[in-house]
Amino acid sequence: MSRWAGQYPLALAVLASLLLGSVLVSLLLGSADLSWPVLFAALQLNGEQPLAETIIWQLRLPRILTALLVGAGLAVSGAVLQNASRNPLADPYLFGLMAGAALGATIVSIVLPEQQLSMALGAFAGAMLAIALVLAVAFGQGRQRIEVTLLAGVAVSFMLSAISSFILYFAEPFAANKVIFWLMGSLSRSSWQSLTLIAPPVMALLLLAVALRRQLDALLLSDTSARSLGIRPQRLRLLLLISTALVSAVIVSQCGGIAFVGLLVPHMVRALFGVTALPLLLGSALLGACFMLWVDNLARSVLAQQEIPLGVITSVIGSIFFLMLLRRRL
Amino acid sequence: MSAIFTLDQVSLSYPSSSHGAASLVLQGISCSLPAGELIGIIGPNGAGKSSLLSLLSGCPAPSHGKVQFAGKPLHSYPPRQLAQQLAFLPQHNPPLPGLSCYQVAAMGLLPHKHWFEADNDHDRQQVELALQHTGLLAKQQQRSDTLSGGEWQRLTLARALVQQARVLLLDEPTNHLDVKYQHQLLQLLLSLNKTVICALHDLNLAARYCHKLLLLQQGQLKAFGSAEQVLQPALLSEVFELPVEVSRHPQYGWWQVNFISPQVAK
Repeated sequence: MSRWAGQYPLALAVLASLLLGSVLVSLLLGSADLSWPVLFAALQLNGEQPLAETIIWQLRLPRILTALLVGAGLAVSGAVLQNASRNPLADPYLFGLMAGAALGATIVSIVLPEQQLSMALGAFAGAMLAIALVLAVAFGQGRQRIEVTLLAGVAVSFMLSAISSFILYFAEPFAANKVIFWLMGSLSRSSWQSLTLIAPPVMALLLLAVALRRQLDALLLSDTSARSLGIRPQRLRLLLLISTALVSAVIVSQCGGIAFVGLLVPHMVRALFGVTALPLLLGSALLGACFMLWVDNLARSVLAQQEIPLGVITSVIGSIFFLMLLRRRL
Repeated sequence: MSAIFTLDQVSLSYPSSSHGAASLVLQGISCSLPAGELIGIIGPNGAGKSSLLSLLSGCPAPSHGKVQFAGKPLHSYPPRQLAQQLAFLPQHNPPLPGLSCYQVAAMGLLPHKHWFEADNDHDRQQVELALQHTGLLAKQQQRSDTLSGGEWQRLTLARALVQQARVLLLDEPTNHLDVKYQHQLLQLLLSLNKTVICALHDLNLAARYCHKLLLLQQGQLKAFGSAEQVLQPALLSEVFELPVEVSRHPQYGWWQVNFISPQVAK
């Protein structure tokens, strides 16, 4: 339990306010300088600021909303997987999703070059292939052990990455550049269209997880005890694995691999609100959204002419965070 | 008294090696366990006490034979419906880091709650009452992983009480408890007016508190009945492979079992 575990509704309200403030500040950030009055006028869509309206509604708002959904989706997926597996290191990307998406995008980039949508579809198909392989190994032969799932994810990752590397090695010299997006992650391709693809699965996962919050708590017990509370642990775990994998596959196909969010954010939320599922899920959604928004703000504003890939920033922050955590615990 | 469980030629086997050879842990058990009584399962290590309790909880299913619960096949109950009637506390029940005692006990509400249903005042009263029964009310906000082994054992019982099941299956519930709490716990179980089936190692505790005893040896039912019927010196000596004396307490009339070490017997 943590200091704020008892007052988590208040703490969640503070986080939500912080998120709203972050969204407003983020709308001002970018190469075009906008003031607060211009921003509010543009948000009202009254035609007084046509250029600002275009910047806000066509460029910045879809990107900001995508950042919120991606951050919330990855953080909630991580929280769900960690509770379901009783493993604090579980993360949506441990299914080999990133390697699968990169392989799918690699194949499409060579077979169907210059087809943006096809590459996203290829990435999604590759991510699903990785999930299918991992689940087939972990759930095959009627047994299910969560550590097998995690190890299978690592093995599948290496296998699919090796195939991608092999294809890229023999492909045209610039083919690797096209695939880097799926390896490093970026929100630069965000649009209202990509948002409509990401929003439904993320919202559905959040609703499902909140509905199953008591079951997620019970999964922290042994499987025998969870069963005694009326749960089918294996079936529930499979449902949660598939749901989180689908959400992560959609995110990775649209935005590429953004590592560590699913691992880092639930750890921070647990330290703040404790381990029970409801505050953990809601806190992860809010903090994940806020975290991803500021990571994207950093990615698009640090260098003048170029964006830094999101995966690079999240990996740096995530690895430093975990090293500090380890140092404190050891 | 009506039977809550009826077992008919029940056997249970587990695959014991990678070659698929099965080990038989329960063999041809037939008996009727009466409702509303405290039933103690006794026997030496490896007799099948925990396996029988697991089987009565619904998982695993018997390899052969039938188990009826309240007049219906045990496996015909949907899990949630079964959990409303039957609570099982396994022997190995590791503490949960980070959860308060109240939160652990409140997990017992799960079988009675729908998807988006929040806890109400009645639920909170149930949880507090269970914590009071188990002597943990004062520690309800304490982290459950800071409890002693005995306190954790009582907390898991509180969770089972919150579950409001009419049958409690408890595997070694007196483990880790000091003498005072062993007696308190068994008195509490007696006062619940529920069917309680528990595996016990201490034969004297079992003789004193249980209405019926079920004696197992190597997966087979050796005896089932009152303490007087089951605690026969010859039978106990055969099952536990030690000389034994059985007597009645001169003042209270309880059955007392004293095993005699082989060196002394010589």
